[in-house]
Amino acid sequence: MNEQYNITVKNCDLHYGDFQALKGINIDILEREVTALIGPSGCGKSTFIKMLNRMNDLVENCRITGEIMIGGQDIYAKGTDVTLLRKNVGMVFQKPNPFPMSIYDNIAFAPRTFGIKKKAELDGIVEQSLKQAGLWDEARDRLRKSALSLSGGQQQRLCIARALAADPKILLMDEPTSALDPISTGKIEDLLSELKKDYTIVIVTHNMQQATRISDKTAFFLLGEIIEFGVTESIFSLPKDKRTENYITGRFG
Amino acid sequence: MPMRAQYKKELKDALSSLVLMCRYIQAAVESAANALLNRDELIAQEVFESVMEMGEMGAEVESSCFRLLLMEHPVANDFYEVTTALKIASELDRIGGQALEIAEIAIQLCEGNYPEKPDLLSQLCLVAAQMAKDAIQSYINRDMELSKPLASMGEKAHSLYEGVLNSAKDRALGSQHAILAVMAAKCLIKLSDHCLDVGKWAEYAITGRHPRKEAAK
Amino acid sequence: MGKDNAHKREILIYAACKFASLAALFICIIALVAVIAFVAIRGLPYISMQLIFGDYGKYPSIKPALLGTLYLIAISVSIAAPIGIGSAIFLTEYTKSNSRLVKSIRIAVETLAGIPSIVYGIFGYLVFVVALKYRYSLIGGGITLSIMILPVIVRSTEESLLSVPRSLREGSFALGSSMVRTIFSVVLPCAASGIVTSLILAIGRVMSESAVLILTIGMVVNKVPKGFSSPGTSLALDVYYFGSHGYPNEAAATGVVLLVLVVTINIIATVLGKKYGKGDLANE
Repeated sequence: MNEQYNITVKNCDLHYGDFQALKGINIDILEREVTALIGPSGCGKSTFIKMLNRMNDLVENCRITGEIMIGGQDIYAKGTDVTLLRKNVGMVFQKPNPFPMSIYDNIAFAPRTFGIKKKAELDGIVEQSLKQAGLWDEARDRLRKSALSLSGGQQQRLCIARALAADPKILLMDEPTSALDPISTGKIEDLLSELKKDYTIVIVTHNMQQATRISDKTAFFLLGEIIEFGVTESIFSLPKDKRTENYITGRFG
Repeated sequence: MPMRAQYKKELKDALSSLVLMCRYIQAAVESAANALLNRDELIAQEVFESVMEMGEMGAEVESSCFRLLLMEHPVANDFYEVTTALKIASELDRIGGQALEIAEIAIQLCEGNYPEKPDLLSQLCLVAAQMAKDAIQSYINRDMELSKPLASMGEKAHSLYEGVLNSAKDRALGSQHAILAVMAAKCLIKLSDHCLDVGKWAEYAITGRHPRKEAAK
Repeated sequence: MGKDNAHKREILIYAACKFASLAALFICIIALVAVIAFVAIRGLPYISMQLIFGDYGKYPSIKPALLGTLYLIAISVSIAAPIGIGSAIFLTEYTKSNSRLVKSIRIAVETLAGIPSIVYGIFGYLVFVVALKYRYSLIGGGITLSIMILPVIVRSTEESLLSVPRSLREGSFALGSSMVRTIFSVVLPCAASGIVTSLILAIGRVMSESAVLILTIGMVVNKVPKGFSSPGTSLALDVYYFGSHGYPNEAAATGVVLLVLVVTINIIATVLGKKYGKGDLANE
């Protein structure tokens, strides 16, 4: 990975119909860092990360203005290959969503989309991705079994492996552990600290302890705006904005 | 893959630098006591060296403990390991401070060439040094057996201290000598009080309960 | 005290309702059992190898009807399945759920489902027999039937497509898949069992239909059909023919055969629906 894979967002607004979901977003996300997005529900965190792989394209009446650069390219420029963008910017969802097919086929899904057909090559990708997601030892003997036979935590790691199999540069995660028990959560948090050596990670979380444990930078969203963005340790020890302090200490308003 | 490997490593690093700090302080107290007992200027210099070498270790341990509390939210055993480390680090800094003062007094005593060695002060010196050793070892080895006798040793130290004060009045040493002896005794008694606290915090690190609170009940 | 009375009255009403619904259920079961038992008692003794597999000569046979029914199933399903599944995919995947187009298509489909089958029959007669000069033919009947079962297939396929969780589609898109790959690799496999069930139910409709066929395939009971364009008969038509041409026993026997086939098909559909139903709703 020689190219720079930073994310730069400048003066970005997003409307759903008449509702403005994001207001004047400016943020620089550096590669190989974990950036946590915190804030109350409905503050635009998820909308923001869905903007980064253009998943908002699927939403009706969604208008975006401003500049969103990933790896030096404006991803909303005309002629952008959305397929390629989503290959480079992987996404993991709140609820594990493995396809109802075998573990192997789940992971080989993206490589097959991009035309990899040789069995040996696919085998290699499957093994590599499962290893990266820390699932290889648990899954190596049951690759042909249905992915739905895995536990919730394993399913979520499978979804991470499935995203990694597309060989992305950036991983977007929308509350990836909110549906999981503490042990599975711990495993995924550990996984993130491994993955950040190779990937840029943007993670939405409602759990502030999680943000402090895993992230290098934290952005606090409120009502569609970024109130504060900075090094996680300083956000949580010396927040500059009163609203940030009220949120992270649990005092609202 | 063990869970939260990074956090475990950070915790381990903080605790092992605290142990290193313990060893420096123990060495410093030992040298200070020897310097005082033997009126040895060279040994007194060793105290300065030990404390110098230790440098900002206490502040570093404290800041990594603060970071752990803020970012990693340790609980249960980890929680009292971290909080104990904070308390012990500051007690050790104070013990180090007293050791330095004792070393300075020892040097002054040497320079003054005072004839007599006050016996009670020597005893106090031995008791305090023993307390420092036991308290620190009980923390390092998580050994409650070593911290238990500290209370009675502390009482003994206090009665010796009274003795030193009285003998300074009664026996009318040269006034300069008497002042230095009393100052040394004062430092030693403060040092032993800090050691007593280290012992209590060592107990807290082992059991999660602080003996002071137990006594209050 | 008033409260007590009210309580008693409630219990009474509850008991009465329970009794009434039990009685309704009982009548329902009695009706079903009566039909099956009557047909079986009348028909079972007359089922013979000659009736089912023999040639139609001195004694009647339903071999032409069995073959005719197979032809009709083949024709109608092979026409209706791709069109029905295709329109269901269009409705669920490519259109916004509340657009005018979708609403009017839905109304059209529902209307199609509500048309009495004899009207389809007269349509088939006028178009294939009269206008296109096919004469009476299996192909004309099959095409007419395919129009009739289209709404069944569209509606149940649509339902099984809608039951595929949105999260799976999102997951596929997020991996860079196109719409087409998402539909064929994720959505359709998930909905497959539901779709197959709907096809089987449609086959059941084809087998039991008679009104359409009287007017379109000619009810030629004594000749094995030679191909799609030859006239023919079906099991349901045979029952009608035997019944109205002095073969009441054969009519009952054919009725038994038809009944067994339809029940079997319904059971297969139910079993399939149950077995794969869970897989469909991956994470719900």
